[in-house]
Amino acid sequence: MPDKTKILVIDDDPAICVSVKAILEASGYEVFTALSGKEGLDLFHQVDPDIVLCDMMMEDIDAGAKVAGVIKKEQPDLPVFLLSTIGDATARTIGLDDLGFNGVFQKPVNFDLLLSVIEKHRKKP
Amino acid sequence: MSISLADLYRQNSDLEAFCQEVRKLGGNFELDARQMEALGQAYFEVHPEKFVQRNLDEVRLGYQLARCCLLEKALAGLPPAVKDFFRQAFDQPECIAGLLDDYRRSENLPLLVSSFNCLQASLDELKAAIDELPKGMIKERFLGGISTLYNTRYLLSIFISRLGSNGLQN
Repeated sequence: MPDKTKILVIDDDPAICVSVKAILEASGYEVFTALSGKEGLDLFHQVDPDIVLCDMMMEDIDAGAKVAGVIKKEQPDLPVFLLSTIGDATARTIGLDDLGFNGVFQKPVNFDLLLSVIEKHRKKP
Repeated sequence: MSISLADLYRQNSDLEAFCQEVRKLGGNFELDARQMEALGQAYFEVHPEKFVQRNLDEVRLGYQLARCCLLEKALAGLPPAVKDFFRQAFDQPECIAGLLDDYRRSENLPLLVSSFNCLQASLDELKAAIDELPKGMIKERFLGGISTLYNTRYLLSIFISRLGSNGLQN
């Protein structure tokens, strides 16, 4: 059996972290959570995740973009997805690729869609 | 005429005290986009928004405030035992499996399932009201608040569906 796919969830709302963690664990993933961009980067270096899900507005309004930028500099191929309330129109105009994100999921998150995307990155036996 | 949530918050800006007062209302309050905006303004009078070095504790209070009001409104009209179950489930989503096991031993599971369907519809109505809010920080707090409720709703739907028809007959 391969190790479980590790997902790092970074969001300043503890209730979001707890609920997303519960859903992802129920789907068979190993989940780590962080409550700020800074804490998220520390945890990123500790746990070496396979996927990162990150909020945008945390300690700074663009904290998520800063996190994605650092991660992509160190691991360009690591999937990093934005979980945010920024709205579809804004998401189309801010250049998510340039910020380091592989895609965006609007809150409230459509978990059927998110899980199908994550499944593509699951570790294969 | 019932008190507005904005006025209630100005009288009880401590979150726990405010949420207790909201729970006492039993969902008998307005929570359309206009009321959400008024409540948001009352919250930002106490906790003004910053865009750098934000105080995350204050931001989280906003999410909790929104979540408490949205959940109590969504629970309006449901039987007391069901309300208590859902309050616990939304408060501790990581414990839903155990809470559901406890509930099915002592309470009427089909009633919980039918109530869950009503709750889902209520949450969708509240989300539609949030969508009417103008773009900005008040909308952000309410979207954050309802996102957690939607996440837990998704989790509840997984565990309730796993009970299957046999479970519902017990």
